[in-house]
Amino acid sequence: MPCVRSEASAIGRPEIRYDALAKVTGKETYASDYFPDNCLWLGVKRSGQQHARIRHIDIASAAQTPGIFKILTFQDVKGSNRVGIPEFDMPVLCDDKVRHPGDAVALVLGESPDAIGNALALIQADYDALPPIEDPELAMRPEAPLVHEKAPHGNVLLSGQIVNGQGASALRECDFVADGEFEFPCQEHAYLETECGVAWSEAGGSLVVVASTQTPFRDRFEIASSLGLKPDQVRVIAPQLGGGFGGKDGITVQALLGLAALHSEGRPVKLVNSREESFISSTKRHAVRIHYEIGCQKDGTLQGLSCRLLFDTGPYSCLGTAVLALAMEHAGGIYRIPNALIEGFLVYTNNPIGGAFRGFGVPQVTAALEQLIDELARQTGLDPLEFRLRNALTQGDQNACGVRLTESVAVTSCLESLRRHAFWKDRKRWIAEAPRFKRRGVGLASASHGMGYGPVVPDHATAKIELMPDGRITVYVGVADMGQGNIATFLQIAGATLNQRPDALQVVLPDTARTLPSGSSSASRTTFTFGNALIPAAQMLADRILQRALLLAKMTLFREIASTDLALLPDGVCHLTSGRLFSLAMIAQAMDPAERCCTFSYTAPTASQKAGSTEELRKWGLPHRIFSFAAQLALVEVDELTGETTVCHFLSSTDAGRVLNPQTYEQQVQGGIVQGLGYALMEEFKQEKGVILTRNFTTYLIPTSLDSPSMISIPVEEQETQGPFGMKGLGEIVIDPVCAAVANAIAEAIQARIPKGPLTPERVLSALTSRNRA
Amino acid sequence: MKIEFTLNGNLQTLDVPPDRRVIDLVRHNLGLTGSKEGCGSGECGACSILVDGESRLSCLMLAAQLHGRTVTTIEGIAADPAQTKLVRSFVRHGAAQCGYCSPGMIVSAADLLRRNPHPRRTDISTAISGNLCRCTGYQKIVDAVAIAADEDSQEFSPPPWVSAEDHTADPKPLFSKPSFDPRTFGTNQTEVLFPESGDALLKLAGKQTDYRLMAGGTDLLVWRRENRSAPRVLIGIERVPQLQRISMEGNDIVIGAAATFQQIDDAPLVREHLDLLRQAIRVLGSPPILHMATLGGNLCTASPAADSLPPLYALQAKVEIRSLDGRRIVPISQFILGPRQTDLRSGEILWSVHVPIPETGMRHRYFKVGRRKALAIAVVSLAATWSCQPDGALQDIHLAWGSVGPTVMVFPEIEKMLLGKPLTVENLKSAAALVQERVLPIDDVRASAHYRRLVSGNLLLKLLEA
Repeated sequence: MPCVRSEASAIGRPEIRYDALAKVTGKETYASDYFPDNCLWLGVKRSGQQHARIRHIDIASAAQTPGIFKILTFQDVKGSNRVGIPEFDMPVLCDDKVRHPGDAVALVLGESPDAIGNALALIQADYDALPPIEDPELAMRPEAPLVHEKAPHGNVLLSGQIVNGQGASALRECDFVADGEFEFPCQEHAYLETECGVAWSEAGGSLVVVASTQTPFRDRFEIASSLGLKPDQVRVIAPQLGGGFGGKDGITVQALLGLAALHSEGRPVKLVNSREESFISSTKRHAVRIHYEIGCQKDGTLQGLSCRLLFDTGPYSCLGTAVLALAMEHAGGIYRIPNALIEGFLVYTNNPIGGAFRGFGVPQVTAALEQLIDELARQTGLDPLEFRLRNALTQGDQNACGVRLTESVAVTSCLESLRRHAFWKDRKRWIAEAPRFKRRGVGLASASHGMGYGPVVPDHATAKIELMPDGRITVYVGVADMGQGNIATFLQIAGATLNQRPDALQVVLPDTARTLPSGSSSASRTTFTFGNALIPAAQMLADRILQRALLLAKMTLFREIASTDLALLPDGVCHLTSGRLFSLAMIAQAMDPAERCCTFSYTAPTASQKAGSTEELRKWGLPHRIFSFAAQLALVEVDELTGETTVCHFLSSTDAGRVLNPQTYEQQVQGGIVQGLGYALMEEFKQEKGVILTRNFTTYLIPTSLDSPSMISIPVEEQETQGPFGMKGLGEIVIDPVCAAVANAIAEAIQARIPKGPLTPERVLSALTSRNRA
Repeated sequence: MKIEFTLNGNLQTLDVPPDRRVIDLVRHNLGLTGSKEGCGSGECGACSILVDGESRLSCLMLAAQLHGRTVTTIEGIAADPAQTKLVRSFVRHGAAQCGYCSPGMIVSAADLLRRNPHPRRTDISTAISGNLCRCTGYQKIVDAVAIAADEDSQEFSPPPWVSAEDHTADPKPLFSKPSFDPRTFGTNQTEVLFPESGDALLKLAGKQTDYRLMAGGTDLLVWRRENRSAPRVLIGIERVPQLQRISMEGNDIVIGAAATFQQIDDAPLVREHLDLLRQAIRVLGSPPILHMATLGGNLCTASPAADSLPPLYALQAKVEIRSLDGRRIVPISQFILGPRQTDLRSGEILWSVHVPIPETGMRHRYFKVGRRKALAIAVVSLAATWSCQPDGALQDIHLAWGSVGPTVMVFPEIEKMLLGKPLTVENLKSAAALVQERVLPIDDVRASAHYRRLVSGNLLLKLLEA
């Protein structure tokens, strides 16, 4: 076996991200930083209507406005005019109906944004208003107006059940029962970079689309089918994204860009959503109504769970089916619960579109379950941490869905980390020291998160790695980096496998023409899946380099050389006996181009078990096989006079397998915590009669630096043997328990629970005042 | 309009529509794409640049404002050896994830370190409070700035980094920066005038019929964006030196209408006597907003949620108004008539604010309740000045509430009721109940009237914490 010496593996070290310098100095080129010559600007006419039939779209006078090149409507769309995998329920440009105020009805191509603004104001669309469906409960009734007339089950896009053991009847046998009804609103992704991109057509009618997207390869198919092209006529390039979090998982502006490029007479086109447009048109975290009942025995052993999850997916699915399935799968949290009935409904309405958002349904169910766990703990007299430890899953246990966990499970260690920490040990004293007019609480929550797409949709990536003639190594990454630093980790992995320094490596960002399909940047899967493709590809390249070096060495040194006499070092292969170094450039030049390039395809393992569930849920992801876990602690102080909550400290102990890079790991933990705090405390999406009231950062508040607590991350590094170097997914598990931890902390502080999120000062003060009166 | 300014050390001469936003000028005309547009309304800080050394929000600036100034974008900062340690620290300590906020963060950090080379962590958090980040949770950014402040400046030779540019090895270049794109943005609809003396300003205001006054522009440009409205003429007051003056006249501190909140906060007279106003400034806006926004602008916008107003009411300030016909002085409570309504007549300019120096021994507190801890419009606010006799009895008290009525609200009868008694929970609760009856809050997107009413009274109890 050829010898690859790895002096000091980069794995486990806080290596600096390759993209850090370019980003910090403003040199990184994002999708909206492309300025093709002679380009046309695009603007979208949005319906402004919640629910209406389109009678007529009058673009005549708008098209005459100075500076306007052309205005397109659905009649200019030659393909299916539908996107949204797999339901294809969302139009590129609306034809028969509009289903929410952000629906696109016309696309304006113009010489400047000002000219476009004038034209947009002149586009007149006539609508026959239809009754808007705003209440998901009412939407489910047979007499409700239909959002999609042709949908097979009316407004219920997906419904299903998971049954384990005796189902809900076990609750009757429980000594203690806790139940509650919770409502959580939409959450806006609020990435700093809005949806944007440029596009142009090439000779022969093919398209190039450069966009801020998490899904370049999937986009290709959707752009092609919606516009009437063949997939190989569409090239999609994904630069570094200025944030995604799920909001760019799928088609946002890409199809509009493609459409415009087909009609721009060869000129490039550019579309950059304003912040207000992003609020109005983009997907959100699903708003939910959740009813839960859980029960345990006197000693705290959980026995039963019954819950009903109602997810409002707005007018389009946008992966809502997968979100519901994941939420249902995680409705039992980190616990052994032998009897469960989990019911879920995904419903069409004319509210904002529910779509993929970091956590993907798990934050919502966790926020409900974990609050009731605290309630049950209180009833049994056990402290909340002890209660959780008693019921926490370990490897080999069956979860609440009846699925046995076959891979790494270290949530017990996460809970133990918290138990050992001073914040938990000293919590009673800390709470007692609250100043006048302030109340303190310490809240605990834990969660699990299944990685990847589940048993049916392949979680697959193909890595390509190439030794260049100059001796550098190019990694062709097919999966997008939305800021989580996965590409930096890939370079670290390639560097470690090939024993090369960071400066020897270069990367080709996702490009359907140059990199290989590797799935979406989502589902906490990218480092795992692409990493597992990259390591064998890099190893294969290392082997080839050594084999070629062996030939070179024998011919150059003209002596017997065993493969064990050679070591792959930074910059070249060293013949250990003589010390002679054969540079990578020299070795590369002795190889045919086909030999210098290695590819490897990897598909993540799936669960072969079936949960006792509605068959359809399986294709949406139930069950997963590899789970990450976390236990978190929030220390809060509530102002009795105003209801304002300060999060003083936040602790997260996370089981995501081995830590490949402590710095990027912490980046995810800290970012997930603060994004979760926004969801818990201040991000209130408001709309009235279809008009979105919170359409900018003045009215929709995300946390600032002054809202961010001091954060501590305690990784639990139990190896996940299936993962590259022992890691598993991290991106979502870190946000899943945050809202629950804060809710539990506030509940302790004010001795009251608030069933509706976010826990704004107003809601907290109201609960406090009612409690004081009671 | 021809403008001349120094950009990243080089003199620029451009002919641009005066009403073009600076962010558009920088990105589209000058091809400097490091500055980003994240919101267009001054809330996210991604567009931050340095103007005359101070951080400003380029999405809320007009091209005409740059004339004669020194501008530095992230590109200039990155090339400046003096800023090496800051860049190095961000890179080393994981302060960038998606990186979209990073240039703005660097600008804010550079601005902070110029003013305060040895900041505490809270100072750093405040300095970047106007830069939104969705990825990092801010902690590593604060770490990076704290470490940079401690380190010596050294040459930073980055290792030959892997460059993301390498992927664009295509026959058709993906990227081309036009050197000057005359087509885009700002259609020359608005004439922007910057008189350079008080007389010139008064003459313009007296002569023009259809104009709007512009102070810092932080409210005006947001209004312009929301209403897609272009005034025919904008008269800016920022180049009239006497309007930025802060001086003493008799027993009053006189603050010129064009003085920025930063200038006010820095002024020795204000530091010595008007701590109440400084407390409000501290929570009024992010650092770049403080560098741009003015007291005069805040007064003329006359929002009941404006943080500067309750303190001015509690301090019994007056405003001086001038026109070609002369000058008049009006108590603030008579100047502000309602939201966006003042007593200013056509041809008049709000000239200055006169604040009587408070009695020695007065205590001052400004309480603001928002939906988050920075960059938040006040949901309820209370400015209080008071003093007690040696036996604890209240000797003097002035209270002014914001965001609970169409204007700032004062209740002299409640103040009178509190005089002569000690400040106790019981006494304050009685007063609170009366306040709750008399305020006139509304429901809006930020809060309900019910909540505002409740909190307006509760805030009185915070006097005990002070």
